[in-house]
Amino acid sequence: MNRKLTLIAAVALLGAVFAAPLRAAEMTEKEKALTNPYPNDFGPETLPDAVLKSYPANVQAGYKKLISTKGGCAQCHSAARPLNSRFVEPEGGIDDKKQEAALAALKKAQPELFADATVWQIETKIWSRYVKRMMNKPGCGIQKADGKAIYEFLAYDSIKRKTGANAAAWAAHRKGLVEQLKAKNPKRYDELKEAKDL
Amino acid sequence: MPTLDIEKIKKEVIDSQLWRSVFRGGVWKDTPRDRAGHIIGNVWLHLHPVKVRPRALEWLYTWGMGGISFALYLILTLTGVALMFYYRPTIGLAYRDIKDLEFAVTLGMFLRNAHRWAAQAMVVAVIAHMVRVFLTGAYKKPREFNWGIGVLLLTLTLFLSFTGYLLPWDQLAIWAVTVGTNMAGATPVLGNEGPLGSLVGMRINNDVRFTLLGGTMVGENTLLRFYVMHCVAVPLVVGILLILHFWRIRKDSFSAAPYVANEEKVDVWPHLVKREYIAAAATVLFIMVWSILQNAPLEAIANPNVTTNPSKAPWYFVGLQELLVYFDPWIAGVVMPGLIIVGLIAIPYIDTNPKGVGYYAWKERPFANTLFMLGVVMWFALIYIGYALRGPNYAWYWPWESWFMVKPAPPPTWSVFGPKGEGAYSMLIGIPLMGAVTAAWMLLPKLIQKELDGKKTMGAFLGALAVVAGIGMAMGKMGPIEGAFLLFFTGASFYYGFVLPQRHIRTLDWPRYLVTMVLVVSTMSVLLKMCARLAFNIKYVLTIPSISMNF
Amino acid sequence: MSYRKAFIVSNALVLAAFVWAFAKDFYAPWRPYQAKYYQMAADELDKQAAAEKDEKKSADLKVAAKKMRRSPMEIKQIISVDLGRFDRCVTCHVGMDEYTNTTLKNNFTEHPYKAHPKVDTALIKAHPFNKFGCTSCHSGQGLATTVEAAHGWVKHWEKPMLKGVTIQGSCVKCHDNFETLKGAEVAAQGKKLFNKHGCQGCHAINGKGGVVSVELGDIADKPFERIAGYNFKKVRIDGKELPNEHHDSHWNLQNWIRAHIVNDPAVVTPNDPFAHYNSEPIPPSGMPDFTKEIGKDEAEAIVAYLSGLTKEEIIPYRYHVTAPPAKEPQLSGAANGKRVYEKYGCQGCHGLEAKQGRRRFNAAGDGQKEYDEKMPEAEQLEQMNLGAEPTLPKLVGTYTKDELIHKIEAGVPAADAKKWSPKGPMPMVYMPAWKGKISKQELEDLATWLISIGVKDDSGF
Repeated sequence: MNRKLTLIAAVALLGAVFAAPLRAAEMTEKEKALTNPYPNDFGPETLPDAVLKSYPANVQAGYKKLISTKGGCAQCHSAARPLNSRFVEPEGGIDDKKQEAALAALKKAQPELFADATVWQIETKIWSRYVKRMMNKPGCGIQKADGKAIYEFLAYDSIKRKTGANAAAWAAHRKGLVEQLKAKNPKRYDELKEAKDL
Repeated sequence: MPTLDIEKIKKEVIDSQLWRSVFRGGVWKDTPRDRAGHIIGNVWLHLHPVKVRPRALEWLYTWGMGGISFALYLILTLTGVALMFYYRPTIGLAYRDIKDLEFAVTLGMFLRNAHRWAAQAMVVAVIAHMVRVFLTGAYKKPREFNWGIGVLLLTLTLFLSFTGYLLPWDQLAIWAVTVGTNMAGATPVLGNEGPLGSLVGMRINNDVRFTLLGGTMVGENTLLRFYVMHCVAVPLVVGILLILHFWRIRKDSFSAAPYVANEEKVDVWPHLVKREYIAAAATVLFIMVWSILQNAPLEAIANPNVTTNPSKAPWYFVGLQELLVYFDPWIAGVVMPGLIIVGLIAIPYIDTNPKGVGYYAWKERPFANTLFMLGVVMWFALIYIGYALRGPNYAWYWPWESWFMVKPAPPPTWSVFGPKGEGAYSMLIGIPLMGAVTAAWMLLPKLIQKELDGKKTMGAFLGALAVVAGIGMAMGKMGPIEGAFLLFFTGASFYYGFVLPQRHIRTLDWPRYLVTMVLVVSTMSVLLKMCARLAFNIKYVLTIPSISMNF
Repeated sequence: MSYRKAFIVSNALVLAAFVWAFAKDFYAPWRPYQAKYYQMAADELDKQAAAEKDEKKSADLKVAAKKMRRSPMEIKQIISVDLGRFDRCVTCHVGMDEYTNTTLKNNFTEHPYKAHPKVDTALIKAHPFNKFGCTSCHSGQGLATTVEAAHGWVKHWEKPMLKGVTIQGSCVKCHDNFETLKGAEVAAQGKKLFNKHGCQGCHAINGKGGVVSVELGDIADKPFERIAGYNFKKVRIDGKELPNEHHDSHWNLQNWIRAHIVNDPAVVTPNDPFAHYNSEPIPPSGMPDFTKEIGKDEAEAIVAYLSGLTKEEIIPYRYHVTAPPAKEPQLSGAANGKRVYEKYGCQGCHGLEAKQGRRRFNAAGDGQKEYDEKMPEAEQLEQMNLGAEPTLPKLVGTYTKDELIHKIEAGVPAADAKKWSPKGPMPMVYMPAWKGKISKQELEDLATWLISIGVKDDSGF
């Protein structure tokens, strides 16, 4: 009997010794992301409260859903990934024509936003597509209504935080993230650069 | 019709030139003269004396094992030659030829079975013969040299069996021989993986294992080499040694049975010869029936890329393979077998007890009998463990456990003394400590002049051990099973290794005493290491990786 | 017993033992079959002689009958030096021995007396027995002369006789053109099925296909020693466990291949998902469950095809039939895309016609309960089995064409999976990187097709 217990204890000890992959499961999503990162992953996982407070209520609700680990984006990956993303969706909601008009207007108003693709990727319906793509991954389980809220946050936030007056600050932040990736993981940096996915 | 006078016809035939030229004896009458003539006048029989002591004939005295071994050797030679008509020792043909023997050759399967079972039986018979000779003290003066020849014959029997094992060229063969010959690679100095081997330039393609295999792996060359050794070289040497062995038996008055005053000797013909015949006939019958009822195994064709799990040496070597769990190959495969052989040969020279020659003397030879039988029992116990209790990955499987059952990985092992990171304690303490312990063990029994009381000493020792075990258990360092292991093995080692020598051989002269103690301590080291490994997961007591010497 | 008596008795017993041994050898299993054949064939000839009107012909037949009846009992064998075959099958199957049965035809209906079927066909005429032996097509242990050993369904013989349609696997060994070969239809169907169900998406054959699992180009050479016994115990063919006795063993490679298709591989190879025996959890076999998708006959066809994929058996130059590679149909656009999807075995993970993703153990899947540490092991296994590959129609609408092509080229590493149980094993299956393996044009068309099967999105944004 004691032999069995000793054996079990020894196997458990072995398991603890080799716990690195198990510990990986207990790694935070951010740590996991940093094993094969995008530049987004090096940024902050939350929005500063000051910025958030200035957003409309439905957009704030969408943000809360995004950072939630149960039924939100953070259940699969760090919230840093969407929050520091280069994607910008023009205003106009679900109306394609309105979005295209907004895009043309933005091109005229701030042509510098279309110069550096690593800082701004401005496309119609880009957040719509990405949120839907994520929702269709197996086991996602985010309900349609929640998805819509998250989308609305991301679309609104991307225009507000990354264009207009905040464009320069955003550019600096984004460039800093890309530099961090280059420094910490040059191989990944080269990979993404070649794939035009920086 | 004239009546046939049988006696007259007989006489005419026997007196004819044809008959007389072949058989010189003439008409045979059952007289002492003719009985003697039968023995003296026949080249095969004249190895026997004409008369022999009746004591020497008793089955329960001799067991007949020497004769049975020889009978088996003759059976093996005959069946072996017959097999040589069909078997070709190349890797493209060997397996197929065995299949041909099994399915196409008349009596082919029977022949193969007879050869294999006779080989197994001969190993057993030869060991039984050795045990009998030991227990009747028939190795003592003046028979020491013959005993040595016998030990060499035993080694050659095992080697014959080992070389023959490869010839079917199936998975069983190739991997058993791989296990066995890899031990040769661990020979100190001469093997490329043994201690000090690499220092003298031994590599995988020029060491003693390479010589044995004819290559770096068991392959085409090995098969041919083993075939030649099995069929020609070793039988020749065995033949020469057998001649010497029989000659010595004859010269040393044929049997060690002690003289009794006014003992009436009896004629060898028929009294000994009839017994020999019955023994031989019984042996032949036994082998024949066994060969009819059970087929020799044959697995899939040898595939050097696929190792069987587990891969085991033939049964008579699997005891040494089991030793590999406890010792490095150079000890388990080279030093231990070497000590066994040298030790066996040395026995007649270190045994000065004049008692027990020619009869079973249990009380008069306590030390000799006890330690020898301990060795025999340990040998067969290790064989049993290695054969029946070791399954896939050489994990421990009880006989009722299916080998398809998955076993968890074994607990990690540790070493007691070694360099930093390898041993729990420093090598600098370990080497002198082990040396001191070994020296003390070797010398103390002789240095303690007064004979120890066996019971009291054992009682004290076991008591002290029990206390140590108790403390260990209380500290959580071991459980009751480990404690039991500790008491049993260490107690046995102390009894056989210290108490018995102290009581019985402390009066020996120093050279003999030391030789005996080397053998005794080596035997006990097996017991102690088994305990250390099985109960406490100790891999090495002392490890010196820089020179590949690990104990 | 006196020694004299013992002498006589022992001699008698040794003699008796020798007679016994000889008798056992003499009354070998093959003798009655051969003897019966001679009798049956002689009876036939006698019958023919009786029915024959012509006197001379009748007399000849009677002589032939007498000769047949008195034929010597011997071990007959066919030796094919080129192919290294020494086949003693005709010792029992005398009807197939061209020396005894010169026409190679007879009226007998039972084995082993009946003649080889189809001797008049081009197939058999192209493979004369004296050149090919028997086992080059039928497999089995040609050297043996007992029933079980010769048929090879015994322990330690790794190439037992191929049963039923699986014999067509032997065609695959020599005939590179087996896909269009008359007589090898089942093997050809096997290959078609192998491609239809997406097997080559994970299992490359001679380098063509995915790298997720083992290369099958030499699967017929797999040594049996490498298949774990405790997995074989779980195999069920026709619902029954397989015997593994010395003289009757069904534990062989054929059945192992069969088991992958007719059993759920995760049940046959459960490994150690809860790390009971290893330091890390090891997931069960990553192969999806094809039991509902592939029927029994289809499974046999696939087994037939795979049984012929050997590299160890060296086919001599003059026995090897080469063939030009099959021409790929010239399609374009979405139609070509669908062909590409099936060509590279994408349906092995993403399902037939991309309709539904297949199982991916311990990955996130639809319908899974939330992971709870206290869940019992059996339920955890159930949930882990619900892990799935993405279902493409729902997904493709969210990609632009370029993004899709890029995704297929880059693949998805295993470590990117979201595990249902964080403590559980890493899902074994992943998406290989197809860059360089699928040509640019093929990728273009594949993306076109995938986007065309996309489901209309109804999320409202």
